[in-house]
Amino acid sequence: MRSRHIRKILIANRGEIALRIMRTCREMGVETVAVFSDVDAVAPHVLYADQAFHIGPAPSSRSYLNVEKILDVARHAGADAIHPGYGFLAENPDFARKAREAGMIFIGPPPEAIEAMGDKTEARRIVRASGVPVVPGTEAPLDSEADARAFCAEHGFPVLLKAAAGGGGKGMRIVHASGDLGSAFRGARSEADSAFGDPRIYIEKYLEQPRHIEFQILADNHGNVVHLGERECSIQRRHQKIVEESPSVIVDEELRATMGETAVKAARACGYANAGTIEFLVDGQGNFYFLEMNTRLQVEHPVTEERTGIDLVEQQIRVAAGEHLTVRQESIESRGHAIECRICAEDPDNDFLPSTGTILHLRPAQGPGVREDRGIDEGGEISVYYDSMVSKLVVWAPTRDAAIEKMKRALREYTILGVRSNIPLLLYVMEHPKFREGDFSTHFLDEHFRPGSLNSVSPEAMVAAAAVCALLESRVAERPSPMADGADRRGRHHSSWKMQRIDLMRTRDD
Amino acid sequence: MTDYTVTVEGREFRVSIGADDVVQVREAEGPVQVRTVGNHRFSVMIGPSTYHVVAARQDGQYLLMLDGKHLAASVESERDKLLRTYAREGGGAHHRTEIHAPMPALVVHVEVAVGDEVKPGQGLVILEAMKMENEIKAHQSGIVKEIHVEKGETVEKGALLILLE
Repeated sequence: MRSRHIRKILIANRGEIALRIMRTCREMGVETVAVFSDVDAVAPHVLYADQAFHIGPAPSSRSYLNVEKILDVARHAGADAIHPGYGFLAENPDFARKAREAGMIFIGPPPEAIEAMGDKTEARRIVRASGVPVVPGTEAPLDSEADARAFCAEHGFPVLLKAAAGGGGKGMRIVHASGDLGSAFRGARSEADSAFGDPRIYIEKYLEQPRHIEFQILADNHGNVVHLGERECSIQRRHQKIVEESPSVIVDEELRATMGETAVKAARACGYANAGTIEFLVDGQGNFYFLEMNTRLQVEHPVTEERTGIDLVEQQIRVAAGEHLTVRQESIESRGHAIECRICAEDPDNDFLPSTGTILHLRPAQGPGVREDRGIDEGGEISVYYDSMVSKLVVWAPTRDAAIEKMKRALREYTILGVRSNIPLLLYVMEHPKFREGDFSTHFLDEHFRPGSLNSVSPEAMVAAAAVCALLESRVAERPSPMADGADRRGRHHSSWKMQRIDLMRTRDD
Repeated sequence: MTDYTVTVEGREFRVSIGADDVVQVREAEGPVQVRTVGNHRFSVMIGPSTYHVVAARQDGQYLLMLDGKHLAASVESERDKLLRTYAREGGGAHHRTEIHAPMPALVVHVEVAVGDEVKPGQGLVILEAMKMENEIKAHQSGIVKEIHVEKGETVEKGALLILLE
């Protein structure tokens, strides 16, 4: 592949990732083109870009997922490359193919690799064939209970029975002992049949306290593949990562080398190019198993950037332009410890209900060792149309303990009004002794977090809060009443009726 | 001086706001000083301890953030509290609503007559207490059935003023 110069990139995304990509573009002297939906006309990524084009209404199906429209805009703007970010069209092979057909560079892997890794069964088959360990399991549905027994005899308990048509935990059974296998097998089949109209079930080895550890891959179009070490993402809520860190406390040099080589092998197996991530599950004994490959830049990529000093977006752009990787496996120097916390607009005190609204106030954490990637500012709206992530707060420090302290400090500095955030939950994780000791798995929150687990502020801080509220209330009461009934002549006091009228007027004024 | 009951995360604080925004919190040991820093931002000093409090009023409630925690608070002036207490207690069954005096007071004016139809929010009686006039209002619509007080009369806290049906 001949090297092509990239002068102008259309970023087919919004929010923090669009901004993050544009920042590197600017540093590289590459022009940027933003796209935006109706509700994003003045969003930070639009303000930052050199050019911006409207692509449709708020629902992403009609804007950020509109392949034809985005390609039209890219052609019209004269972009020579498209960066998809993550989410939206990032793992859509059709989009990658059409961009290529339109003569543009897709800053990501070849469509064939996206396709191969997007099919989970196919992905397992491909990597397994090249010697990458996968969680032991049957590739074909079980015919009988005897098949299930044979599997358990070979691999031991616990095992997981799951519906072939699966999803949402229906037709799923964890079996710990031989005596329970028969009833679990029948139960899973009948549940799968009634839920999906398909009684077929698979069996696989169940990892009891798995940790989610992934490896960052960089590959060029000339056969060079390197890994940039691991990120541990075991702190999750309903399979959504909320805290990521590097290095992992359970990965030593030897395991890192083994897993890294395996990750490189998996990337080679699917003819990968550009940045990608191989996700593994790791059990208590240090056995690791391929989970899946993400064929894009990850949300949590800053953790790797902070530790290695390598700008992953820059590498993506260079590789996509056909350049050779200049990063050599031996020359990668990882330093210290990085942690990322995803600040989301959701209420951990209220069953993690998404919290929508206008950001009335936002004051981020600052100071040494703190990086923030955010795509919304004061006055911005957390709407129902897009995800609830407000910001990615990333810290770096020489040691894990110091990084945790820095993250606690940064989370306490952060203030946001208008929506509820998960900042108290993130602090809970940082302060938890088990997190501190490194003794956790993907079940961390399920095992430890309960409604009411979150501490409140000190009594004196509550006094401070109360003082501010009373002062604000006295100012509301002082405002002249909009009603011409002279209610205010009777002084500063007010009934709840007057308060409501003032509220109405303020709403209208706003 | 206006007295407020502020409920922060279920804990009540008695706060007085005086002239020149002098703040007194009964639960605090020392003096409390609140200064406005900017839009939604306040400095609070309790003795030498400093707090940077961010706060916004939304839908009649207060949302604050401090030390990595979101706090919800509601504020009621002492008078509001009394009015609410008595309005609730008086709300009997069968659409009969008794309006009681929330405090010992002088009846300054009776704004309705027996047989009048009243709407929510309509003034019924003006009471004077602590050198301030307080208008007692209807919280629901109804017809004035009985009036138990007249102008110039002094009433005790809890006295029945008006019966609505």
